Amino acid sequence: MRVVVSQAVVRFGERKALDGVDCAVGGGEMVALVGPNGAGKTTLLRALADLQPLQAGEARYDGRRARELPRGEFARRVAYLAQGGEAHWPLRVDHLVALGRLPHRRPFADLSAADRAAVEAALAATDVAHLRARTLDRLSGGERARVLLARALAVEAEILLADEPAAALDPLHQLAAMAVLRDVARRGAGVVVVLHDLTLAVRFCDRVVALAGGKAIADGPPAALTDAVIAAAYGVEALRGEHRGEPFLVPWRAIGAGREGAGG
Amino acid sequence: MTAARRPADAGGRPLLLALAGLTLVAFLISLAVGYVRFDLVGALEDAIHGRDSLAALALTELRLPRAALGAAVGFSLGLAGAAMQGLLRNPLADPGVVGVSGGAALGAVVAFYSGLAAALPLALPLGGVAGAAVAAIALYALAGRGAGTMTLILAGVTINSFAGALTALALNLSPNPYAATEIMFWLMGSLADRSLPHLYLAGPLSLIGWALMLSAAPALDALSLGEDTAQSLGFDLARLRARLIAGSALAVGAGVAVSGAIGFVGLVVPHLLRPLVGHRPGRLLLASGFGGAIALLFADVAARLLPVHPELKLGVITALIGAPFLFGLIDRMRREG
Repeated sequence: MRVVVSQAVVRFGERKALDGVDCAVGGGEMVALVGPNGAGKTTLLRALADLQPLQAGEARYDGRRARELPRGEFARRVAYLAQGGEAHWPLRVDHLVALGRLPHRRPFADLSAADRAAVEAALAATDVAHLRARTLDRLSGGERARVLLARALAVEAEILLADEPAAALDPLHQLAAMAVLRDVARRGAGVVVVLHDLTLAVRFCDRVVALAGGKAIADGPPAALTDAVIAAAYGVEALRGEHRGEPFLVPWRAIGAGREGAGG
Repeated sequence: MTAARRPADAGGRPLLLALAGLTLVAFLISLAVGYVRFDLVGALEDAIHGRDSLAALALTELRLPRAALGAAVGFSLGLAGAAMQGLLRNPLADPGVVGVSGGAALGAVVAFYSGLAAALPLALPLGGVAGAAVAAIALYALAGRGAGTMTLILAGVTINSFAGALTALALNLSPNPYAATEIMFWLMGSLADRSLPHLYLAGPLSLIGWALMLSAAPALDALSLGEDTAQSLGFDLARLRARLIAGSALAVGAGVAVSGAIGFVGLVVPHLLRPLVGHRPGRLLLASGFGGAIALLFADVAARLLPVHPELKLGVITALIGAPFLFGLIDRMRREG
């Protein structure tokens, strides 16, 4: 499936969260959505998931509007992981992950063999299989984030839209989560992931879309994240390098602070 | 695929069978307990063979409607409580909170006050259903399509206050002290002296309401992950809200109309059963329905067994147990949260 959002405009009162943004993702591709706080990353991701009504522009799924697809089919093909995921009841880990199979199930039917296999695979991929019988209130923030990622993986959708899946994780599980998402893309799904960590974005993603002030200021391979783009988006300088053929990028200092440093 | 790899089925069929069995037991006890002493088996035989013995009449005209209404109203309250808590994702929600009970009570009071209830006995239940429906429609108009949980709760509070004010106004203006007393007693809630026509009126409406609410189980499970996630899992939230509001209006409206206002069942029962179903809101629905039926049947048996005359009103008993429970619940949430 190919998802294309074109000329998307979203206003929250006076503020334009999205101001004519184009963004597309296709199968086999891993796209990072980066930008400072309030740049419109979550709004764009919700637009891609058809959760965000647009004041102008449109979202198309293989050329069709979401409402032209049956609701269940859309839910099976496009998975969405909300930011800072919430669960309102202390559900058991395996029960929660199994919620990802709801679009595949007939109402009130038990989990099928395929459902159980998908749940097991998702539990294993995010390293939470050993927590399966625990309830959510007995997990740490990072463990909970991994369980919620497993829920989204369990949908086994063609498009996976994840809002800051790595934010609460320790370094090991950040790397593991990014590897899992890249693996999902390598197996043919389209993945869009909102990231604050530019190092992860540049290293793991095929394409980077940088948002600032509701506009896309860069869209291309990781190299598109130039010093000028980073300065415009974040107001920081970045340190760049390469380790064993892989590029890395580390935000280094605020541009204003750098000037003060030079002066003193 | 080994049994050990399957997620353990907490709150599955064994729990539901146990609750259904307990409901049946409570129903039979409710049939057997009362002020007229008679041989239950003999009365049943007389009733089946069409013999109009005193015992058979007491069974079919007094005990049966009372027990059946107790089970049905309790089921409605327990189910609607679980449904509202799932929808609002708040363990303190119940039909009272969203204003459906208040609207139903007002509708029935209007039937009293206007004298319609005196002219036509069924005007009272019909008024209750109409009041619940008006409250539900007002709730939907206020909370509207796509409104959040907070809006829904505020709308419920508003409707409850307004219905309460209008009910108080009716009492205030009542020219006839007997009518006012009658309203007061009815508001306390009771299953005494109900007849089979009450059951025939409330039954079908309740059944439709139950079906609407029970069909929302998968959507409520999805909703425990938030509105965006539920929508991304293929559930239409506007339709889910409409279904649950209509379902609870039908079931609770019909129930309140024949039994008066009985509080706290929809609050206490889902709370007690939630851990047994692994906190899954979908699984909680049916379990909570049975739990509500059991709770109300036993409360009604207690009302008849307690050596207090005149008989304690059912709503008084549930409030005496439920209010301290709510107090404890809030206290615990405050300390935990």
